[in-house]
Amino acid sequence: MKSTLRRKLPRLLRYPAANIGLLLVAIYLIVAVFAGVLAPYSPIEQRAADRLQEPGAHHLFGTDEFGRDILSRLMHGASSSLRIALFAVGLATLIGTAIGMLSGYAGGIADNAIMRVMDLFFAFPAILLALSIVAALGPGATNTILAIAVVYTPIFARVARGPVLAIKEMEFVAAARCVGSNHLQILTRHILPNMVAPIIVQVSLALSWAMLTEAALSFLGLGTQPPQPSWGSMLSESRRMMEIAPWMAISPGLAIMLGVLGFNLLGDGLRDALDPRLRM
Amino acid sequence: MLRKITLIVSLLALAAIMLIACAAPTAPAPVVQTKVVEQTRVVQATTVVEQTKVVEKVVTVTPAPTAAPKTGGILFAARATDMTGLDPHKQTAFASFRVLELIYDPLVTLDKDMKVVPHLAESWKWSEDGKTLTMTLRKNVKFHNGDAMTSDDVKFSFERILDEKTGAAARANYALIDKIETPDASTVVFTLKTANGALPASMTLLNSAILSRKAVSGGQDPAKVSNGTGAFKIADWQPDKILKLDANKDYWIPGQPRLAGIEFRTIPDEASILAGLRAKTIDWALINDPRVGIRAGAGGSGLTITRAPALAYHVLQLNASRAMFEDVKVRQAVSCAIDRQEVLDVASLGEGEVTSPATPPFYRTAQKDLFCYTKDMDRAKKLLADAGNPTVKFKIMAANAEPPTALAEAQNIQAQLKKIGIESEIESLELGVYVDRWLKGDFDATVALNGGNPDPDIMFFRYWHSTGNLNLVANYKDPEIDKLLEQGRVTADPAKRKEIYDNIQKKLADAVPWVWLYVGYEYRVMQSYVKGFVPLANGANTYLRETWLDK
Repeated sequence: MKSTLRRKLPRLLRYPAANIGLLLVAIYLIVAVFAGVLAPYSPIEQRAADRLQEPGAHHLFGTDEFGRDILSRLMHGASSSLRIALFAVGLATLIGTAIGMLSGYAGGIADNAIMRVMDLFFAFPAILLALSIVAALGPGATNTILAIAVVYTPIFARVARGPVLAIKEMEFVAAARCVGSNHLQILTRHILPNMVAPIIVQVSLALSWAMLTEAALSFLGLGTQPPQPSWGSMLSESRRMMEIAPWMAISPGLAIMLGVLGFNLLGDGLRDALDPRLRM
Repeated sequence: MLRKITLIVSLLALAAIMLIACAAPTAPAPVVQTKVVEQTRVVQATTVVEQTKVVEKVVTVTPAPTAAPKTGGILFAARATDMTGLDPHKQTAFASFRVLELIYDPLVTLDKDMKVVPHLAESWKWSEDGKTLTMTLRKNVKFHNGDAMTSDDVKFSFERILDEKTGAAARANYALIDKIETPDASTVVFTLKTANGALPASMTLLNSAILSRKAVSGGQDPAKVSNGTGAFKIADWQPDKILKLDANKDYWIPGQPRLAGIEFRTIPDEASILAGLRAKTIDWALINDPRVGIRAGAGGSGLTITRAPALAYHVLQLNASRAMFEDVKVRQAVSCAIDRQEVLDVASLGEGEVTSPATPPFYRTAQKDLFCYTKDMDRAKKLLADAGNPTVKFKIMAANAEPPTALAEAQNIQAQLKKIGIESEIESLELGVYVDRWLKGDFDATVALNGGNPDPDIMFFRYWHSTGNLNLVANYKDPEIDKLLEQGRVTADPAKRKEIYDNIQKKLADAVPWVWLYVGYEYRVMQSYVKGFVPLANGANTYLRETWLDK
């Protein structure tokens, strides 16, 4: 099964949009991972003499009202948003996929009960649910991760359940059962590898939503706490400075847009490349 | 007891004209075209309150043509927050005062010079021993429902405030009232337990507005139906959207209000309010965010901007009952390590002034006489060393966007304290949660914008007297300060009174339960055709009743 993935992935490069997505995601990842090395200044150190500098040679993207370098804050903001998005989506993928597989495999009343609970989560708009969870737990990075994970778990459960329903009826599953494989072995060795493709696509899309949700929560002051930089909070803080220092708002806004665009394009490309129903 | 005090008026006028050429559009350019700073110090003859007015006026270059006031027209006004309730006795939010002061009247009021002047009461006199205050009421005052206002309504209103069940916001200010008598329909006699010279000043508060006995005891809930004596009455209120006021045609000041009505719109984003002003869809607006306020005059907008230093103050409250701040030396080190001007420059772009604990200019103690009002790192480090170099780690609680400068203040303080090795974390909370925890005193430290008052008794007693209703928020008690506050209440002589409050401020600056930072400005931005509005240093909008539209 892995060979199928290996065979299909290069197809991704055939789509120009996916290439742009790949490039944007690559830049984002490099900046996020190496922010500590790449950033020219500390993201939180306040230098009174450098307050509200326009973009220029010393500060490529200018400085904010505290005299902090905006480029450095953007870079560190990328790390924190990547960290939160990865952990949250990772958590949602693990739990959601497990729930969906179990539910689909078990079938019957259990399936019904689990999926109705998932529907309950679905009924809330994602941002509203995330907001209320963070409001209940209190702001901060860990709680943001939890909130985003809870919001996206049902999506993974639903995405995982569908293929399981189809796959569990296939001959090779029956064959595995005949040779004495137990349920766990069937689920992990025979069913899971056959449904990796839709999960990967979903992960890529969920990463972009998670970034957006984190930015939205931080914008509202509930995500990453100051003085730690986050794209959302940078945008929120700069909103009132739009006329005095427009560069403060433009760069985090662009960063969010390009980051989300990258993951979305990549996700679309992956779907096109991996979806067996869309043969090119 | 109250003796006549001679009138001292010292006037300082200073005018500076700065003409600023068109600045580069992206640069943070100053926007002041003409600046008139007027400072008047008035010691009032009939009461013990003594005030200084500092009203700074920033106007655009075109001189205002003088014309006879016109009547009629609707003023479209905007502000970021709507009032939170209708009952004037229970309101604590600035946003509520700014509207209800147009609907209700207190017995006395503050004039342009922050002097206590007659309002519903046309005159008053003190007995020799300073324990009896006799007030004569105006005879031509009517409630919005047409009933005449009498001394009985005054008695009823104050009894309602004093009744603990009402939950009146300013009850503590009138706690010394022993009994209220009404010898005739236009005379009220307040008998006090002990002399309290600050009583007329505290009667200027909207929280002591006069309600109608007949209406309220007849079952009309002031929280639901407004029935005041003010210049305007409420025609329609859709909370957080629109508030329509109609002129009160029977208002007791002849010829006022000049407007036919006011329509207040609540627009949460002040930058949008400014956009509305520029597009001329809004006539008059209240702006609190300095980052918006300083842009209002940019680019020849033709808007008139008045700016007055507020009495409300930005402060870092330390909780002396928490382990990390128990040691006074640690608190003093915090005070010495903070450059207050830097906090002001960062959070409010320098729009404001560093303040002593008392914010009314007359009562502000000179900053050089206060402990560590200029940053002194060596002293801060030495104080920490004397305290045994403890590891100080704490959380700064801040409300999310109220005031809009809170998070910036917290971040700057955090960075400044880090330089002497004090670590802090910022906890940003939604306003409702913040207020709950603030009222319970549940925080290590918090940045706050607290209301001020022209009278220091009203400003200090509730926080710093051990029986004050907000003493829990201050979390600090000192028997000597208690004694001084009680003295301040009964002292009539302004010089002596100032000395008492100077003493209190020195003690507060020494003990550092709080680090007082600065007072900002409040901006009123209006179209050039809006005339007759006078901003008051306490932020009141009462002069909207004299405002008229020249178009």
